[in-house]
Amino acid sequence: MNWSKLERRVGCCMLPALLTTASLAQESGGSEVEKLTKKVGDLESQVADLREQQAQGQDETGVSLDEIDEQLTDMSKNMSTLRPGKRSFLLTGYAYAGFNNSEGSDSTFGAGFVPIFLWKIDDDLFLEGEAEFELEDSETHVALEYLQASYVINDSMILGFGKFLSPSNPFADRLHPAWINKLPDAPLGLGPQRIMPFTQLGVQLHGGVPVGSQKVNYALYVSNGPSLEEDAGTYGSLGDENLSDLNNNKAIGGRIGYFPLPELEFGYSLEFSQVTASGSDVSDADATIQSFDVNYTASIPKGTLDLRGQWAFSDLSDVVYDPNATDFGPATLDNSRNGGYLQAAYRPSEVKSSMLSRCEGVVRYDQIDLPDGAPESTDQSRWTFGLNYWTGASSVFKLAYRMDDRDAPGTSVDAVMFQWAVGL
Amino acid sequence: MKTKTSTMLTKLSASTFVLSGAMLLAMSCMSTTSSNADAAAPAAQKSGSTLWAQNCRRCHNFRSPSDYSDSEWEAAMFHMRIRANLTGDEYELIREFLKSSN
Repeated sequence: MNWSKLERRVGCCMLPALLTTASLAQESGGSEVEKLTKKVGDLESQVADLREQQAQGQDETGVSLDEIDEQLTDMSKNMSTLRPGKRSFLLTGYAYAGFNNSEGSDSTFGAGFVPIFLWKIDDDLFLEGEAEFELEDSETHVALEYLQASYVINDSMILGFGKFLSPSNPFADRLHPAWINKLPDAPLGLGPQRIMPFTQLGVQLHGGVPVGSQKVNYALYVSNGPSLEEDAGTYGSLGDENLSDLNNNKAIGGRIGYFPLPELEFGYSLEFSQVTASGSDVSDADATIQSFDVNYTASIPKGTLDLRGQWAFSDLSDVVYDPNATDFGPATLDNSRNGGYLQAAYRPSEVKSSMLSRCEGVVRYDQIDLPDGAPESTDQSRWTFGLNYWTGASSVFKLAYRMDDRDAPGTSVDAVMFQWAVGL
Repeated sequence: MKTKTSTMLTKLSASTFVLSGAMLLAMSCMSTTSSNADAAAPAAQKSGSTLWAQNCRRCHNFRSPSDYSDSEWEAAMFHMRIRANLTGDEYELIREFLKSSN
Protein backbone atom coordinates (compact mmCIF):
# COMPACT_ATOMS: atom_id res chain seq x y z
CA MET A 1 0.00 0.00 0.00
CA ASN A 2 1.15 3.54 -0.73
CA TRP A 3 2.25 5.12 2.58
CA SER A 4 0.91 8.64 1.91
CA LYS A 5 -2.52 7.18 1.09
CA LEU A 6 -2.47 5.29 4.35
CA GLU A 7 -1.71 8.45 6.29
CA ARG A 8 -4.48 10.35 4.57
CA ARG A 9 -6.98 7.59 5.40
CA VAL A 10 -5.95 7.48 9.04
CA GLY A 11 -6.03 11.27 9.18
CA CYS A 12 -9.55 11.31 7.76
CA CYS A 13 -10.63 8.89 10.43
CA MET A 14 -8.97 10.82 13.24
CA LEU A 15 -10.17 14.32 12.33
CA PRO A 16 -13.90 13.74 13.01
CA ALA A 17 -12.97 11.90 16.15
CA LEU A 18 -10.97 14.86 17.46
CA LEU A 19 -13.67 17.34 16.53
CA THR A 20 -16.25 15.20 18.25
CA THR A 21 -13.97 14.86 21.24
CA ALA A 22 -13.66 18.63 21.59
CA SER A 23 -17.38 19.28 21.39
CA LEU A 24 -18.31 16.46 23.72
CA ALA A 25 -15.69 17.57 26.25
CA GLN A 26 -17.42 20.85 26.54
CA GLU A 27 -20.85 19.19 26.91
CA SER A 28 -20.17 16.00 28.91
CA GLY A 29 -17.23 16.74 31.11
CA GLY A 30 -13.80 15.09 31.88
CA SER A 31 -14.81 11.36 31.74
CA GLU A 32 -15.86 11.56 28.14
CA VAL A 33 -12.63 13.34 27.30
CA GLU A 34 -10.69 10.51 28.85
CA LYS A 35 -12.61 7.94 26.81
CA LEU A 36 -12.04 9.81 23.64
CA THR A 37 -8.41 10.35 24.50
CA LYS A 38 -8.07 6.58 24.92
CA LYS A 39 -9.69 6.02 21.53
CA VAL A 40 -7.22 8.42 19.96
CA GLY A 41 -4.46 6.50 21.63
CA ASP A 42 -5.82 3.26 20.20
CA LEU A 43 -5.98 4.76 16.74
CA GLU A 44 -2.41 5.97 17.04
CA SER A 45 -1.41 2.49 18.10
CA GLN A 46 -3.20 1.01 15.07
CA VAL A 47 -1.40 3.45 12.79
CA ALA A 48 1.91 2.39 14.30
CA ASP A 49 0.97 -1.26 13.71
CA LEU A 50 0.08 -0.49 10.13
CA ARG A 51 3.40 1.28 9.64
CA GLU A 52 5.22 -1.72 11.03
CA GLN A 53 3.28 -4.14 8.80
CA GLN A 54 4.03 -1.99 5.77
CA ALA A 55 7.71 -2.00 6.59
CA GLN A 56 7.69 -5.78 7.02
CA GLY A 57 5.90 -6.13 3.69
CA GLN A 58 8.65 -4.15 1.99
CA ASP A 59 11.29 -6.37 3.55
CA GLU A 60 9.49 -9.53 2.50
CA THR A 61 9.14 -8.27 -1.09
CA GLY A 62 12.77 -7.32 -1.12
CA VAL A 63 13.83 -10.81 -0.03
CA SER A 64 11.58 -12.46 -2.64
CA LEU A 65 13.01 -10.37 -5.45
CA ASP A 66 16.51 -11.26 -4.38
CA GLU A 67 15.62 -14.93 -4.39
CA ILE A 68 14.05 -14.67 -7.84
CA ASP A 69 17.09 -12.82 -9.12
CA GLU A 70 19.35 -15.53 -7.73
CA GLN A 71 17.23 -18.28 -9.28
CA LEU A 72 17.32 -16.54 -12.64
CA THR A 73 21.09 -16.29 -12.43
CA ASP A 74 21.33 -20.01 -11.67
CA MET A 75 18.98 -20.87 -14.52
CA SER A 76 20.99 -18.74 -16.89
CA LYS A 77 24.13 -20.61 -15.89
CA ASN A 78 22.37 -23.96 -16.38
CA MET A 79 21.07 -22.88 -19.78
CA SER A 80 24.58 -22.12 -20.93
CA THR A 81 25.61 -25.69 -20.05
CA LEU A 82 22.65 -27.08 -22.02
CA ARG A 83 23.27 -24.97 -25.12
CA PRO A 84 24.08 -27.30 -28.06
CA GLY A 85 27.65 -27.19 -29.26
CA LYS A 86 28.89 -26.70 -32.76
CA ARG A 87 28.93 -30.42 -33.46
CA SER A 88 25.80 -32.54 -33.75
CA PHE A 89 25.58 -36.28 -33.27
CA LEU A 90 22.81 -38.77 -33.88
CA LEU A 91 22.77 -42.50 -33.29
CA THR A 92 20.15 -43.96 -35.59
CA GLY A 93 19.84 -47.00 -37.86
CA TYR A 94 17.44 -49.88 -38.02
CA ALA A 95 16.71 -53.35 -36.71
CA TYR A 96 14.80 -56.33 -37.99
CA ALA A 97 13.72 -59.83 -37.07
CA GLY A 98 12.03 -62.39 -39.23
CA PHE A 99 11.15 -65.90 -40.21
CA ASN A 100 11.88 -67.68 -43.49
CA ASN A 101 10.43 -70.98 -44.63
CA SER A 102 11.94 -71.99 -47.98
CA GLU A 103 11.20 -75.19 -49.85
CA GLY A 104 13.87 -77.81 -49.47
CA SER A 105 15.60 -76.24 -46.49
CA ASP A 106 14.91 -75.87 -42.78
CA SER A 107 12.79 -72.93 -41.76
CA THR A 108 14.56 -70.42 -39.58
CA PHE A 109 14.23 -67.24 -37.59
CA GLY A 110 16.70 -64.45 -38.17
CA ALA A 111 17.50 -60.99 -36.83
CA GLY A 112 19.82 -58.09 -37.39
CA PHE A 113 20.75 -54.76 -35.85
CA VAL A 114 22.30 -52.00 -37.92
CA PRO A 115 23.31 -48.88 -35.98
CA ILE A 116 24.25 -45.78 -37.97
CA PHE A 117 26.47 -43.12 -36.41
CA LEU A 118 26.13 -39.59 -37.74
CA TRP A 119 28.40 -36.67 -36.86
CA LYS A 120 27.96 -33.18 -38.23
CA ILE A 121 31.41 -31.81 -37.50
CA ASP A 122 30.77 -28.36 -38.93
CA ASP A 123 28.68 -26.80 -41.67
CA ASP A 124 30.84 -28.39 -44.37
CA LEU A 125 32.13 -31.62 -42.89
CA PHE A 126 30.20 -34.75 -42.02
CA LEU A 127 31.10 -38.27 -40.95
CA GLU A 128 28.80 -41.27 -41.05
CA GLY A 129 29.34 -44.93 -40.35
CA GLU A 130 27.08 -47.95 -40.41
CA ALA A 131 27.83 -51.16 -38.56
CA GLU A 132 25.95 -54.38 -39.14
CA PHE A 133 25.26 -57.14 -36.66
CA GLU A 134 23.46 -60.04 -38.28
CA LEU A 135 22.75 -63.57 -37.13
CA GLU A 136 23.97 -65.76 -39.94
CA ASP A 137 24.74 -69.49 -40.06
CA SER A 138 24.90 -69.89 -36.28
CA GLU A 139 27.30 -66.95 -36.03
CA THR A 140 26.94 -63.23 -35.42
CA HIS A 141 28.15 -61.55 -38.56
CA VAL A 142 29.70 -58.15 -37.84
CA ALA A 143 30.62 -55.77 -40.62
CA LEU A 144 31.37 -52.15 -41.34
CA GLU A 145 28.77 -51.54 -44.01
CA TYR A 146 30.07 -48.08 -44.80
CA LEU A 147 32.23 -45.32 -43.35
CA GLN A 148 32.25 -42.09 -45.28
CA ALA A 149 33.54 -38.58 -44.66
CA SER A 150 31.85 -35.89 -46.73
CA TYR A 151 32.96 -32.36 -47.47
CA VAL A 152 30.54 -29.84 -48.99
CA ILE A 153 32.33 -27.99 -51.79
CA ASN A 154 29.32 -25.93 -52.81
CA ASP A 155 25.52 -26.17 -53.03
CA SER A 156 25.70 -28.79 -55.75
CA MET A 157 28.91 -30.66 -55.08
CA ILE A 158 29.93 -32.90 -52.21
CA LEU A 159 33.21 -34.75 -51.97
CA GLY A 160 32.95 -38.11 -50.22
CA PHE A 161 35.69 -40.53 -49.37
CA GLY A 162 35.90 -43.83 -47.55
CA LYS A 163 33.71 -46.89 -47.96
CA PHE A 164 30.35 -45.82 -49.32
CA LEU A 165 27.19 -47.39 -50.66
CA SER A 166 27.61 -47.66 -54.42
CA PRO A 167 25.89 -44.69 -56.14
CA SER A 168 25.57 -46.78 -59.30
CA ASN A 169 23.31 -49.23 -57.47
CA PRO A 170 20.28 -47.23 -56.26
CA PHE A 171 18.84 -50.23 -54.45
CA ALA A 172 22.00 -50.42 -52.34
CA ASP A 173 22.40 -46.67 -52.03
CA ARG A 174 18.88 -45.81 -50.89
CA LEU A 175 16.47 -48.71 -50.61
CA HIS A 176 18.13 -51.67 -48.93
CA PRO A 177 17.47 -50.82 -45.22
CA ALA A 178 14.89 -53.26 -43.89
CA TRP A 179 12.45 -50.52 -42.85
CA ILE A 180 12.61 -49.00 -46.37
CA ASN A 181 12.72 -52.13 -48.53
CA LYS A 182 9.09 -53.10 -48.98
CA LEU A 183 9.79 -56.84 -49.05
CA PRO A 184 11.75 -59.01 -46.61
CA ASP A 185 14.44 -59.92 -49.15
CA ALA A 186 16.54 -58.15 -51.79
CA PRO A 187 16.00 -58.44 -55.53
CA LEU A 188 18.16 -60.73 -57.64
CA GLY A 189 21.24 -59.18 -59.18
CA LEU A 190 21.34 -56.24 -56.77
CA GLY A 191 21.32 -57.91 -53.36
CA PRO A 192 23.31 -60.93 -52.17
CA GLN A 193 23.57 -62.65 -55.58
CA ARG A 194 24.63 -59.49 -57.31
CA ILE A 195 26.08 -58.50 -60.62
CA MET A 196 26.96 -54.97 -59.57
CA PRO A 197 28.75 -53.75 -56.46
CA PHE A 198 26.89 -52.91 -53.27
CA THR A 199 29.63 -50.70 -51.81
CA GLN A 200 32.70 -48.90 -53.12
CA LEU A 201 35.95 -48.06 -51.36
CA GLY A 202 37.32 -44.86 -52.83
CA VAL A 203 36.33 -41.27 -53.46
CA GLN A 204 33.24 -39.75 -55.03
CA LEU A 205 31.90 -36.40 -56.18
CA HIS A 206 28.14 -36.11 -56.07
CA GLY A 207 25.27 -33.69 -55.75
CA GLY A 208 22.07 -32.29 -57.17
CA VAL A 209 21.84 -29.61 -59.85
CA PRO A 210 18.65 -27.62 -60.55
CA VAL A 211 17.96 -27.44 -64.29
CA GLY A 212 15.12 -24.96 -64.72
CA SER A 213 12.14 -26.40 -62.91
CA GLN A 214 13.68 -29.87 -63.01
CA LYS A 215 16.63 -31.45 -61.31
CA VAL A 216 19.53 -33.73 -62.09
CA ASN A 217 21.46 -35.82 -59.57
CA TYR A 218 24.93 -37.04 -60.35
CA ALA A 219 27.71 -39.11 -58.82
CA LEU A 220 31.18 -39.83 -60.13
CA TYR A 221 33.59 -42.10 -58.30
CA VAL A 222 36.97 -43.77 -58.40
CA SER A 223 37.30 -46.89 -56.27
CA ASN A 224 39.05 -50.20 -55.74
CA GLY A 225 36.21 -51.67 -57.76
CA PRO A 226 35.00 -55.27 -57.89
CA SER A 227 37.19 -58.34 -57.96
CA LEU A 228 37.01 -61.35 -60.26
CA GLU A 229 36.13 -64.60 -58.53
CA GLU A 230 38.37 -67.49 -59.62
CA ASP A 231 37.22 -70.30 -57.29
CA ALA A 232 35.49 -73.40 -58.61
CA GLY A 233 32.09 -72.48 -57.20
CA THR A 234 32.00 -68.84 -58.24
CA TYR A 235 34.45 -68.25 -61.09
CA GLY A 236 33.47 -65.51 -63.51
CA SER A 237 31.33 -63.59 -61.02
CA LEU A 238 32.27 -60.31 -59.34
CA GLY A 239 32.87 -59.80 -55.64
CA ASP A 240 32.89 -56.39 -53.97
CA GLU A 241 34.91 -57.23 -50.87
CA ASN A 242 37.93 -55.70 -52.58
CA LEU A 243 39.05 -53.85 -49.46
CA SER A 244 42.75 -53.96 -50.22
CA ASP A 245 42.91 -53.47 -53.94
CA LEU A 246 43.98 -56.52 -55.87
CA ASN A 247 45.61 -54.51 -58.64
CA ASN A 248 46.73 -51.00 -59.53
CA ASN A 249 43.77 -50.31 -61.80
CA LYS A 250 40.94 -48.39 -60.23
CA ALA A 251 37.29 -48.63 -61.13
CA ILE A 252 35.68 -45.49 -62.58
CA GLY A 253 31.95 -45.07 -62.52
CA GLY A 254 28.97 -42.92 -61.82
CA ARG A 255 25.28 -42.35 -62.08
CA ILE A 256 23.00 -39.67 -63.49
CA GLY A 257 19.45 -39.31 -62.21
CA TYR A 258 16.99 -37.04 -64.02
CA PHE A 259 13.77 -35.73 -62.44
CA PRO A 260 11.33 -34.52 -65.12
CA LEU A 261 8.81 -34.31 -62.27
CA PRO A 262 9.47 -34.22 -58.52
CA GLU A 263 7.82 -37.64 -58.21
CA LEU A 264 9.63 -39.29 -61.11
CA GLU A 265 13.29 -40.16 -61.59
CA PHE A 266 15.12 -41.90 -64.40
CA GLY A 267 18.62 -43.09 -63.65
CA TYR A 268 21.53 -44.52 -65.58
CA SER A 269 24.83 -45.73 -64.20
CA LEU A 270 28.02 -47.03 -65.70
CA GLU A 271 31.22 -48.48 -64.26
CA PHE A 272 34.49 -49.60 -65.85
CA SER A 273 37.06 -51.66 -64.02
CA GLN A 274 39.90 -54.10 -64.45
CA VAL A 275 39.09 -56.98 -62.13
CA THR A 276 41.85 -59.57 -62.31
CA ALA A 277 44.24 -59.77 -59.37
CA SER A 278 47.89 -58.94 -59.89
CA GLY A 279 49.88 -62.15 -60.33
CA SER A 280 46.84 -64.22 -61.19
CA ASP A 281 47.10 -66.96 -63.81
CA VAL A 282 43.93 -65.56 -65.33
CA SER A 283 44.64 -62.90 -67.93
CA ASP A 284 43.49 -59.31 -67.36
CA ALA A 285 39.72 -59.03 -67.55
CA ASP A 286 37.81 -55.81 -68.02
CA ALA A 287 34.33 -55.39 -66.58
CA THR A 288 31.67 -52.99 -67.81
CA ILE A 289 28.58 -52.67 -65.65
CA GLN A 290 25.53 -50.63 -66.58
CA SER A 291 22.26 -50.10 -64.77
CA PHE A 292 18.98 -48.42 -65.62
CA ASP A 293 16.51 -47.45 -62.94
CA VAL A 294 13.18 -45.69 -62.61
CA ASN A 295 11.45 -44.51 -59.46
CA TYR A 296 7.96 -43.04 -59.14
CA THR A 297 6.20 -42.24 -55.87
CA ALA A 298 3.02 -40.19 -55.85
CA SER A 299 -0.29 -39.64 -54.14
CA ILE A 300 -3.19 -41.13 -56.04
CA PRO A 301 -6.83 -41.32 -54.94
CA LYS A 302 -7.07 -42.67 -51.40
CA GLY A 303 -3.41 -43.53 -51.07
CA THR A 304 0.19 -43.67 -52.24
CA LEU A 305 1.58 -45.48 -55.27
CA ASP A 306 5.21 -46.55 -55.32
CA LEU A 307 6.74 -47.91 -58.55
CA ARG A 308 10.36 -48.93 -58.84
CA GLY A 309 12.58 -50.75 -61.23
CA GLN A 310 16.27 -51.34 -61.75
CA TRP A 311 18.05 -53.56 -64.24
CA ALA A 312 21.79 -54.12 -64.33
CA PHE A 313 24.00 -55.54 -67.08
CA SER A 314 27.57 -56.74 -66.64
CA ASP A 315 29.97 -57.70 -69.39
CA LEU A 316 33.40 -59.20 -68.68
CA SER A 317 36.23 -59.98 -71.06
CA ASP A 318 36.34 -63.57 -72.24
CA VAL A 319 39.21 -65.09 -70.27
CA VAL A 320 40.26 -68.62 -69.36
CA TYR A 321 39.71 -69.60 -65.74
CA ASP A 322 42.11 -72.03 -64.07
CA PRO A 323 44.21 -72.04 -67.26
CA ASN A 324 46.76 -74.47 -65.80
CA ALA A 325 44.08 -77.05 -64.97
CA THR A 326 44.99 -77.22 -61.30
CA ASP A 327 41.41 -77.44 -60.10
CA PHE A 328 38.35 -77.26 -62.39
CA GLY A 329 39.77 -75.70 -65.57
CA PRO A 330 40.51 -74.69 -68.04
CA ALA A 331 37.08 -73.07 -68.34
CA THR A 332 35.68 -70.20 -70.35
CA LEU A 333 32.48 -68.20 -70.22
CA ASP A 334 30.68 -65.79 -72.51
CA ASN A 335 30.49 -63.69 -69.40
CA SER A 336 27.52 -61.36 -69.83
CA ARG A 337 24.93 -61.19 -67.07
CA ASN A 338 21.86 -59.19 -66.36
CA GLY A 339 19.37 -58.95 -63.54
CA GLY A 340 17.06 -56.65 -61.70
CA TYR A 341 13.52 -56.05 -60.57
CA LEU A 342 10.25 -54.27 -61.18
CA GLN A 343 8.09 -53.49 -58.15
CA ALA A 344 4.73 -51.88 -57.45
CA ALA A 345 3.28 -51.01 -54.05
CA TYR A 346 0.05 -49.32 -53.04
CA ARG A 347 -0.99 -48.16 -49.59
CA PRO A 348 -4.51 -46.79 -49.11
CA SER A 349 -3.24 -44.34 -46.54
CA GLU A 350 -6.11 -41.86 -46.99
CA VAL A 351 -9.06 -44.19 -46.37
CA LYS A 352 -11.12 -43.71 -43.22
CA SER A 353 -10.46 -47.15 -41.79
CA SER A 354 -7.43 -46.88 -39.53
CA MET A 355 -6.54 -50.53 -40.01
CA LEU A 356 -6.83 -50.46 -43.80
CA SER A 357 -4.84 -47.25 -44.04
CA ARG A 358 -1.91 -49.02 -42.40
CA CYS A 359 -1.88 -51.87 -44.93
CA GLU A 360 0.25 -51.93 -48.06
CA GLY A 361 0.21 -54.39 -50.93
CA VAL A 362 3.44 -55.13 -52.82
CA VAL A 363 4.25 -57.16 -55.90
CA ARG A 364 7.74 -57.62 -57.33
CA TYR A 365 9.21 -59.44 -60.29
CA ASP A 366 12.94 -60.07 -60.25
CA GLN A 367 15.23 -62.05 -62.48
CA ILE A 368 18.86 -62.92 -63.09
CA ASP A 369 20.36 -64.33 -66.27
CA LEU A 370 23.74 -65.98 -65.97
CA PRO A 371 26.08 -67.10 -68.74
CA ASP A 372 25.88 -70.69 -69.92
CA GLY A 373 28.22 -72.78 -67.85
CA ALA A 374 28.35 -70.37 -64.90
CA PRO A 375 28.99 -72.43 -61.77
CA GLU A 376 26.84 -70.62 -59.22
CA SER A 377 23.35 -71.41 -60.32
CA THR A 378 20.98 -71.30 -63.24
CA ASP A 379 18.89 -68.50 -64.63
CA GLN A 380 16.24 -67.56 -62.14
CA SER A 381 13.08 -65.49 -62.00
CA ARG A 382 10.70 -64.85 -59.12
CA TRP A 383 7.33 -63.33 -58.34
CA THR A 384 6.89 -62.08 -54.80
CA PHE A 385 3.61 -60.93 -53.29
CA GLY A 386 3.67 -59.06 -50.01
CA LEU A 387 1.31 -57.55 -47.48
CA ASN A 388 2.73 -54.97 -45.09
CA TYR A 389 1.19 -53.52 -41.94
CA TRP A 390 2.68 -50.20 -40.83
CA THR A 391 2.43 -49.59 -37.08
CA GLY A 392 4.25 -46.28 -37.48
CA ALA A 393 6.11 -44.23 -40.04
CA SER A 394 9.19 -46.42 -39.67
CA SER A 395 7.84 -49.63 -38.15
CA VAL A 396 6.39 -52.37 -40.31
CA PHE A 397 5.38 -56.01 -40.26
CA LYS A 398 5.88 -57.73 -43.65
CA LEU A 399 4.42 -61.00 -44.84
CA ALA A 400 5.40 -62.25 -48.29
CA TYR A 401 5.14 -65.29 -50.51
CA ARG A 402 7.85 -65.82 -53.14
CA MET A 403 7.37 -68.02 -56.19
CA ASP A 404 10.65 -69.15 -57.64
CA ASP A 405 11.34 -70.38 -61.17
CA ARG A 406 14.75 -71.74 -62.20
CA ASP A 407 15.87 -73.27 -65.46
CA ALA A 408 17.18 -76.45 -63.89
CA PRO A 409 14.26 -78.78 -63.16
CA GLY A 410 13.44 -79.41 -59.53
CA THR A 411 15.58 -76.57 -58.18
CA SER A 412 12.94 -73.88 -57.73
CA VAL A 413 12.53 -72.75 -54.14
CA ASP A 414 9.27 -71.10 -53.12
CA ALA A 415 9.30 -69.36 -49.78
CA VAL A 416 7.13 -67.78 -47.12
CA MET A 417 8.79 -64.86 -45.39
CA PHE A 418 7.86 -62.75 -42.40
CA GLN A 419 9.77 -59.75 -41.14
CA TRP A 420 9.41 -56.99 -38.59
CA ALA A 421 11.55 -53.93 -39.23
CA VAL A 422 11.95 -50.60 -37.51
CA GLY A 423 13.89 -47.48 -38.43
CA LEU A 424 15.41 -45.87 -35.36
CA MET B 1 28.14 -59.41 -84.82
CA LYS B 2 26.40 -59.47 -81.49
CA THR B 3 29.66 -58.65 -79.72
CA LYS B 4 30.40 -55.76 -82.10
CA THR B 5 26.93 -54.29 -81.60
CA SER B 6 27.25 -54.70 -77.88
CA THR B 7 30.66 -53.01 -77.90
CA MET B 8 29.35 -50.11 -79.99
CA LEU B 9 26.38 -49.66 -77.66
CA THR B 10 28.67 -49.72 -74.67
CA LYS B 11 30.97 -47.12 -76.22
CA LEU B 12 27.97 -44.95 -77.13
CA SER B 13 26.61 -45.23 -73.61
CA ALA B 14 30.01 -44.48 -72.17
CA SER B 15 30.47 -41.41 -74.37
CA THR B 16 27.01 -40.10 -73.49
CA PHE B 17 27.61 -40.77 -69.84
CA VAL B 18 31.02 -39.10 -69.73
CA LEU B 19 29.71 -36.08 -71.66
CA SER B 20 26.72 -35.71 -69.35
CA GLY B 21 28.96 -36.10 -66.33
CA ALA B 22 31.32 -33.42 -67.61
CA MET B 23 28.40 -31.03 -68.19
CA LEU B 24 27.01 -31.64 -64.73
CA LEU B 25 30.41 -31.23 -63.17
CA ALA B 26 30.84 -27.90 -64.95
CA MET B 27 27.40 -26.77 -63.79
CA SER B 28 28.20 -27.85 -60.25
CA CYS B 29 31.47 -25.92 -60.26
CA MET B 30 29.56 -22.79 -61.26
CA SER B 31 27.04 -23.34 -58.50
CA THR B 32 26.76 -20.62 -55.88
CA THR B 33 26.36 -20.81 -52.15
CA SER B 34 22.94 -20.65 -50.47
CA SER B 35 23.13 -16.97 -49.66
CA ASN B 36 23.18 -15.87 -53.29
CA ALA B 37 21.50 -18.80 -54.97
CA ASP B 38 19.65 -18.28 -58.19
CA ALA B 39 16.17 -17.12 -57.31
CA ALA B 40 14.81 -19.08 -60.23
CA ALA B 41 16.04 -22.37 -58.83
CA PRO B 42 13.10 -24.66 -58.07
CA ALA B 43 13.97 -25.12 -54.42
CA ALA B 44 13.98 -21.38 -53.83
CA GLN B 45 10.36 -21.22 -54.95
CA LYS B 46 9.14 -24.03 -52.73
CA SER B 47 8.45 -24.13 -49.03
CA GLY B 48 10.37 -26.37 -46.68
CA SER B 49 7.30 -28.50 -46.09
CA THR B 50 6.81 -29.05 -49.84
CA LEU B 51 10.43 -30.04 -50.32
CA TRP B 52 10.23 -32.30 -47.26
CA ALA B 53 7.19 -34.03 -48.74
CA GLN B 54 8.72 -34.41 -52.19
CA ASN B 55 12.21 -35.53 -51.27
CA CYS B 56 11.68 -37.77 -48.25
CA ARG B 57 8.86 -39.78 -49.78
CA ARG B 58 11.02 -40.83 -52.72
CA CYS B 59 12.54 -43.52 -50.52
CA HIS B 60 10.61 -43.84 -47.26
CA ASN B 61 7.60 -42.72 -45.22
CA PHE B 62 7.65 -39.26 -43.70
CA ARG B 63 9.47 -39.03 -40.40
CA SER B 64 7.69 -36.75 -37.95
CA PRO B 65 9.53 -33.51 -37.10
CA SER B 66 9.05 -34.43 -33.44
CA ASP B 67 11.11 -37.62 -33.85
CA TYR B 68 14.33 -35.72 -33.19
CA SER B 69 15.51 -32.61 -31.35
CA ASP B 70 16.87 -29.60 -33.22
CA SER B 71 20.44 -30.77 -32.67
CA GLU B 72 19.62 -34.30 -33.86
CA TRP B 73 17.91 -32.95 -36.97
CA GLU B 74 21.16 -31.13 -37.78
CA ALA B 75 22.92 -34.49 -38.08
CA ALA B 76 19.97 -36.31 -39.67
CA MET B 77 19.47 -33.66 -42.33
CA PHE B 78 23.15 -33.58 -43.26
CA HIS B 79 22.94 -37.35 -43.68
CA MET B 80 19.93 -36.94 -45.97
CA ARG B 81 21.64 -34.16 -47.91
CA ILE B 82 24.32 -36.68 -48.81
CA ARG B 83 22.03 -39.67 -49.32
CA ALA B 84 19.41 -37.84 -51.42
CA ASN B 85 21.75 -35.40 -53.17
CA LEU B 86 19.82 -32.40 -51.87
CA THR B 87 20.97 -29.04 -53.13
CA GLY B 88 22.06 -26.40 -50.62
CA ASP B 89 18.70 -24.62 -50.90
CA GLU B 90 16.69 -27.81 -50.45
CA TYR B 91 18.78 -28.79 -47.44
CA GLU B 92 18.40 -25.40 -45.72
CA LEU B 93 14.64 -25.14 -46.30
CA ILE B 94 13.83 -28.68 -45.16
CA ARG B 95 16.09 -28.37 -42.12
CA GLU B 96 14.45 -25.12 -41.03
CA PHE B 97 11.00 -26.60 -41.57
CA LEU B 98 11.76 -29.63 -39.41
CA LYS B 99 13.34 -27.56 -36.63
CA SER B 100 10.45 -25.11 -36.56
CA SER B 101 7.88 -27.91 -36.51
CA ASN B 102 9.24 -30.23 -33.85
